[in-house]
Amino acid sequence: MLLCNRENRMTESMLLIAGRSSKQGTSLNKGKLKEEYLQITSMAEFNEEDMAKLGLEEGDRIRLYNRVGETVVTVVKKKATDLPVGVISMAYGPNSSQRAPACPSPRISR
Amino acid sequence: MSEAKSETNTRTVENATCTFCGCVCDDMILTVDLDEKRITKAKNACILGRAWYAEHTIDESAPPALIGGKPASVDEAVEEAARILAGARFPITYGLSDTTCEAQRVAVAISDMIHGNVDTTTSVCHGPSGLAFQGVGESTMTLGEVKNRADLVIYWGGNPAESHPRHFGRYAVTAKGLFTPGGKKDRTIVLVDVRKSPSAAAANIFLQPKPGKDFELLWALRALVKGRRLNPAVADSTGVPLEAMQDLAERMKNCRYGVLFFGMGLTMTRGRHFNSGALLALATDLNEYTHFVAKPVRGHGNVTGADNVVSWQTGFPFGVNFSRGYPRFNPGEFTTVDTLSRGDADAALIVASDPASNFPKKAIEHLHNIPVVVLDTKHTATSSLARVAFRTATYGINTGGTVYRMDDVPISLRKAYDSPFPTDEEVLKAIRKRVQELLLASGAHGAAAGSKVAAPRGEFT
Repeated sequence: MLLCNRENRMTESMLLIAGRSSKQGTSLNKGKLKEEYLQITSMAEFNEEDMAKLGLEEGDRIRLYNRVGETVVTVVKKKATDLPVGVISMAYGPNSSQRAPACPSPRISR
Repeated sequence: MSEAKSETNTRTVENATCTFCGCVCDDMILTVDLDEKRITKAKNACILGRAWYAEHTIDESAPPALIGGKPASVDEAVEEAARILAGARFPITYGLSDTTCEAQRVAVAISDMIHGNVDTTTSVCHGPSGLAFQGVGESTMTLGEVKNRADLVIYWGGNPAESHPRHFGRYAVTAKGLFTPGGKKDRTIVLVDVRKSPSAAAANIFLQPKPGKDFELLWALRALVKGRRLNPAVADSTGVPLEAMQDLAERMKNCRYGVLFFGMGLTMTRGRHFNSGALLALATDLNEYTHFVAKPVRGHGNVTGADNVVSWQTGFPFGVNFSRGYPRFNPGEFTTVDTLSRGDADAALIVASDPASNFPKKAIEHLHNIPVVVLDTKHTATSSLARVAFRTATYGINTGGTVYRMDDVPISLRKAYDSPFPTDEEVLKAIRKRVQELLLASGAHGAAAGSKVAAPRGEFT
C-alpha cells in the first residue's frame, strides 16, 4: 500500500516525535492487534504551514521513510502554534517505533 | 441479564487500585459482574482507567498456554520454557513493568540462576533518568507532599492530560491540600514542551522550546537562578524569550515549594541523560533558595516497582547482566534493544510487555530468530512470534500483590474477581523451579568457572 507518487516528489526531511494520546491509550487496552489501535497509531499530525508548503490536505495518505524503513500514515492538521514547523507528531505504536532508532528523522513523500 | 441476577451476582470492591499508569490511583470503586467475569463500572477512574477495566475481561475460550502456536497445558509450557532458558547461552529477561513486585523478583531470580540478562521497560523510557540519578542525585518527595504543599508545579516534556489524566486532579494541579486549600488558585502551573499539547490548557505559563533544545534551556535557567547574565543569543537558540526565562527563574526561586515533573520528551530526545541530569541539577540548585523537588512521571503501572525490585536484588535498576555470576550494569550493552539489535541474545523471557510491537525493527527481527517465552494477559505481536506463550491473570483485577506508584510509594492491590488463568508469579515460580532442576541435573551447578553455574538460591527477600 505504498502511496508515494512517481518519483518521490515533495520529499522533505522532518523530525518525528511520538507520544501518548487519549485514544491511543484507550485503544491499546482493547488490543494492539486490533484495527482501532493500528489506525490511531497511523495518524500523523502536521503543522498547517508544513502542509501548505508540501501541498498536503488533511486525510492524505503519505509515505514516511528513513534509513531503517518506511510506513504509510494519514495526515492530521494542527495549528501552527501547536506544533513546530518541521515536526511530525504521532501516537506511539508500531509505525513510529519500528521505523527507526529512538529519534528518527524521517523523510516524507506523497 | 435480569435485574435480580445482576444484584445477586454483583460485587463491589472499594479502594481498588488501577494499574494502567504510574499514578496507581487507589481510590477505585469497582462494580464486578461475577457471572460475566467483568468489571461493569469503575467509579473514580479516568478515561484510561475505564478502558483498562472494561477491556480486561476473561476469554475462557483461550488456552492457558501455547507452544509453537498450538494449545498446551501450563505444565507442558513450563517444561518447554524451562528447557529453553536453561539451555541458552545468553538468555534475556525483559518487560516486568506491568506485573506485581512479587512476580518481578521471581523473574530476577530466574535471570540470576541462568546467568542471563534482566532489563525492564525503563530502558526505553526513563532509563536516562536512572543514569542521571546516579550522576546527579534526586531531590525527591511523595505525591502527597505535592498535593499538600506545592505552589509551583512545572511539567517538562510530557503531556499528563492524556498520559496521566488524574495527575492534575489527584496530586498536582487542582488537588486541594493542607497548605493549598484553594487547589489551582494556590498554584502556578507551567508546561514546557515542544508541542502545545492538551496539557497546555491546565497551565498558567506555557514555554515552547525548539525541539532538541531542552538541555540548553535548562542550563540557561541554572545560570539565571545563580544570578549570571545570559547571552541574548540563548533566546534564539532555545526558542524561548529571555524575559520568559527570567520570569520562570524568579518564580522558581521565590516559590514556597516547587516541583519539576519530567517526561519522555526530555529523556528520549537528544541529550537524554544529560537532559535529565540538567533538570535534576536545577532542582538541587534551587534548594539554595527554597524547597524544590523533581520527579519523573512514570508510564506503566508498576515500572517504578520494576526499578525498585531490580535495584534491591542486583544493586542496579535495569540493564543488568549475570553472565559472570554477579550483576553488572551497562546500559547500551545490557539493555534489551541493544542485546537484540546486536544479535547477542539467544533466548528471551518476556513478562507483561510487547516489544514486538514497540521496539525498533532490527530488534524485532532478532526476536523472530530466537525462542521466546512470553507471559501476557492478551494475545500480542510478541505472543504471536513466541515459542511459548502463557496467558496470565491481570494484575490488580484478578490478582493481589504490590506495585509502586511513580513516587516510589508501595501500594497493595485488591483482587476484583478470579481468573481461570495463572498469575505471572505462579508461572514464573514454576519456571524457576524447573530451571533449577534442569541445571542441577545437567551438572551446571558448581561446574568449572566459565560454564553456566546455577545459583539455586531463589530470590532475595
